[in-house]
Amino acid sequence: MKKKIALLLSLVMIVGLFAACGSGAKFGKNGGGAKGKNAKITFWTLSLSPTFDDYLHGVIKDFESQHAGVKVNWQDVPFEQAEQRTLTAASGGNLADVINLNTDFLKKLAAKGALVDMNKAAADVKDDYFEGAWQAGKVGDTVYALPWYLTSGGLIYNPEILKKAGFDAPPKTEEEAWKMSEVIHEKTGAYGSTPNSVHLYLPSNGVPLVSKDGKKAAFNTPKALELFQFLKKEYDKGLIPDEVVLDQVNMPEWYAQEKLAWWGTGPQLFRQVKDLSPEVYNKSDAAAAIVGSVGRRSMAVMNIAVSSKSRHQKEAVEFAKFITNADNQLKFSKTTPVLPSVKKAAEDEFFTKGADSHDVAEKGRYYSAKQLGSSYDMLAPVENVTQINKVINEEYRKVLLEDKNPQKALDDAEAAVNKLLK
Amino acid sequence: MSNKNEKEFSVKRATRVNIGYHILLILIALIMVVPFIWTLSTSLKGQNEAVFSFPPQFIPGHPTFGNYAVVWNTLPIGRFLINSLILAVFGVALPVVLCSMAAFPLARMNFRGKNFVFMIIMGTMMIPGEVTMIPVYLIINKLGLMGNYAGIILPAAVPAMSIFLMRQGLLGIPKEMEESAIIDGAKVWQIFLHIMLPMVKPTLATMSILNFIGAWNNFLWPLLVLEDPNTYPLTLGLYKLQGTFVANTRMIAAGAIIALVPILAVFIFFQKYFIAAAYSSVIKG
Amino acid sequence: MYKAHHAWLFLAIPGILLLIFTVIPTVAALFLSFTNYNVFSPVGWVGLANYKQLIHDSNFWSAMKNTLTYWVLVTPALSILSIFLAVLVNRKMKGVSVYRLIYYFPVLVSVVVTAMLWKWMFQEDGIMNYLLSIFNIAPAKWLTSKSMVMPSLAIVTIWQGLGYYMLFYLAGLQSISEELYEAADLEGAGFWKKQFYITFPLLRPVIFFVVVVSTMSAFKEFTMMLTMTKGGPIGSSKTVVYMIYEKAFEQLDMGYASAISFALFLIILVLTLINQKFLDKDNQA
Repeated sequence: MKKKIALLLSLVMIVGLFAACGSGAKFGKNGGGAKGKNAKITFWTLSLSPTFDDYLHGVIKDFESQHAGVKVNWQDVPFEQAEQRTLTAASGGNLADVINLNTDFLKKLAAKGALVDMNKAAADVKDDYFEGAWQAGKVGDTVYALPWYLTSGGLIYNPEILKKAGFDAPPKTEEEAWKMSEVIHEKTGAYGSTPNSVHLYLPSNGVPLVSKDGKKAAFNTPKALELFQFLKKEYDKGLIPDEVVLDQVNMPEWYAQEKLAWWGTGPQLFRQVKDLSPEVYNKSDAAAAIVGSVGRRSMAVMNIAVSSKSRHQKEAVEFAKFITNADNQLKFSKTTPVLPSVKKAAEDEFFTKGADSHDVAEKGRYYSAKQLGSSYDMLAPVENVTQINKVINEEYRKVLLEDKNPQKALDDAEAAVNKLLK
Repeated sequence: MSNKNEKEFSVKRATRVNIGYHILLILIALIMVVPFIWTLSTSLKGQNEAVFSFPPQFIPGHPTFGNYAVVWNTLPIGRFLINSLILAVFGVALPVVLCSMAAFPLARMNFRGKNFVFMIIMGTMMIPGEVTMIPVYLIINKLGLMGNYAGIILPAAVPAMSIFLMRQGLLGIPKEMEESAIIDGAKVWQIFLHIMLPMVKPTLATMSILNFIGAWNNFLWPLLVLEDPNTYPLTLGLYKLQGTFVANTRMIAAGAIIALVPILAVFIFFQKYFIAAAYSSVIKG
Repeated sequence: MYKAHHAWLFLAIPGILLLIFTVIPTVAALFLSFTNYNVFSPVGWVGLANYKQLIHDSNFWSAMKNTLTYWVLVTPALSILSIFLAVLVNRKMKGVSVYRLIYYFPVLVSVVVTAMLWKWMFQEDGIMNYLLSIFNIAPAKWLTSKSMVMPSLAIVTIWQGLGYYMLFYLAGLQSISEELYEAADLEGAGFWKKQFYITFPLLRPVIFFVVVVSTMSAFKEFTMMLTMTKGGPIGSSKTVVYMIYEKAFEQLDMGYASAISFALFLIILVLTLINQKFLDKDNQA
């Protein structure tokens, strides 16, 4: 019996090895022949169906009619499961040809060699995009994705709370925001500024996280120390609740409960407030995003990348360019308050309207479109950007919640980040 | 006289105990039912009512079935329901048959390698699904089951936990039962079918409820395996209500309630097997 | 009375499926733990490097500490309290099935809703602190202090799991003959005495099951932490599987994630063997 068991076990091992080894090497067996004619490409989006079914079907139809023989098979993936779906599919060689990715995960995949170099493949259209958006696809000096739709900070605020505290306009700068936060909290109990992380706060105040060559941490500076000390001071005054520091708060929920005087976010998310509390939404107003000390605003970009193992790379790149071109992005922006990453689309008169709209989301779009030229994707162009941000945020939390010496926190974070950049 | 008094007293005491008993049960029920009530009430709220107010409003001010209508009209709920039902039928039937078969020798027989087999089964439960996900995916892929319901059903056909549950159920049966059957000349499969299984009906019911819920709520594997949205089960289909920009909590809640109804039906159906009769009557008989 | 080939006949079909979809993936994961597999590059053998790294990884040890804390808080409470819940609803009484159903509800409500409501109850000005204020206790930082976060999460888990484990006990209780209780009544045994001398001993196979299963699920929990605390404050609710998830799907370090899983496996295995020693004495039928 023991022999039998040993035999069985070794058999299992062999099959297991076989199953595991067979995975790495082969990709992109999608579609038929490898020639230009009759190419079938797969396109994945993140949580866009069914709201944008009409729009996406339209774009795909246009593309197919302009490129005879190319078929686009569109699939929508829920945002939360995107990583698992992408990785399992890749392990079995079933990765899509054209993939919609968020910037964090994009950098990881790019560093592993999974994506096509767009500096080369899309050199002809590079200058069409805003510089700040084009950067999102960067790892090192190479760009691995075309920027698609994006959101740049806007501000939704509650005039009633401001009024109770004696203000009639929302803050414009960080400095002003903190001064107002103090008065607001004292008079109404509501909170103002809510920094739940610092990985964007530092760069928007002139402290880049990573050196230009992407090899070293660059945030251990007197300026960063000053910012940490400043936030600690505000925290000690009771202006930043623990839940916010720990990023446990779903901001729209708090805003809808009138626990926040304002919420800085992309105008496409304003509608979440409407969903939770129509009353609060209706009395809210929109303004330009609060600007950091160096006058740069951050933007969040959605990207379109092409799998390097795609059998129809040429067609896939064509499609990536097509869906991110000015016409198609403009059409997309008209369906929802997101902004285009293409300059030409942003010049459309559609974005110059809305300054006096009664709908906060539309007004927010107007403001955030205006600031597009001075907005940048601020995530460091390195593989481990997700972890790096986590490390820095964790040290920030230690400073606030555990009275950790700010300089020591920056030193520790620097050491950890340098390790991640090796 | 004293006898009568005593009786009255004990009747009174019994009623008092009974009332206290119900109060306790109701108190626990209240604590347990809050999220469900919240979901239900949210699903009935109109577009102009706050979802998140403080204190929470459990009774909608303007109750409406509008959210249900919108969900029903936006998504092919009927088709999703049928898909889910197909998956759930296999998800219940296969484990009931296969896990009882596997548990029977593990609980009732002595053979070499028994502990080894049992430990292997237990061992597989100790590894988080996050790391076996890619190997399982590769096997499904190699077997050509991508895009196919078999790729969802087969990996879940023999849940280790159900084998374990059945083994524990079968362990409790007294030995005399099968001994007398063997004297009567019963075959092994007859003992299994006619003596063992009827005695563990409550366990079979528990297992069925468990696996039904597992199959019904299975979200990740349909997502990884299926390619055509028309073949999506309900949970995966309902996820479409949760788009990138549109968070319509009322509709999501309505969807959740729709998905809950079949589970409640199944629970009520199987829980009728939770009666002590089967076992004690056999003993007496 | 049974022969060995009977056992293997019953085990054959479930065994093959289990082998293909559960055992092989587990072995594959074990294999991966000796590699630097990252999905995209070819697999490279690294020997024990991942395990060596693990021993010196302070994040792993703190995650392990958190997981053990959580297990200690959750498993005993769930294993014992759910017996009483089962005993409470194991009566022949009108409406008892409604209570059973309601107690089962928390299992059915989505994680998102559960997290949202409990976060709201744990808020600084939430219900939990209101309850404390009734008893003149200072408000607690339920989810935002290092010392409170695990107990708070344990409360949610226990609340959610009671009905789930109740069901297994309920099934087990059906096989205890009522005559035993009647006989005990005649001898004047009280409620507690009956539980200690009848219920607990006869439920032992089910208790073993519940302890093992709730141990495993305590060790594998992470979605609740992900939705409620994101592993905070400052990593104090980051569990081992949370870490596995991050390593595997955010950092694509499948090899290391697998190594962590097998370290976790060893611990669960030891705990299960201890459990078996105490609670599974009667398995040699």
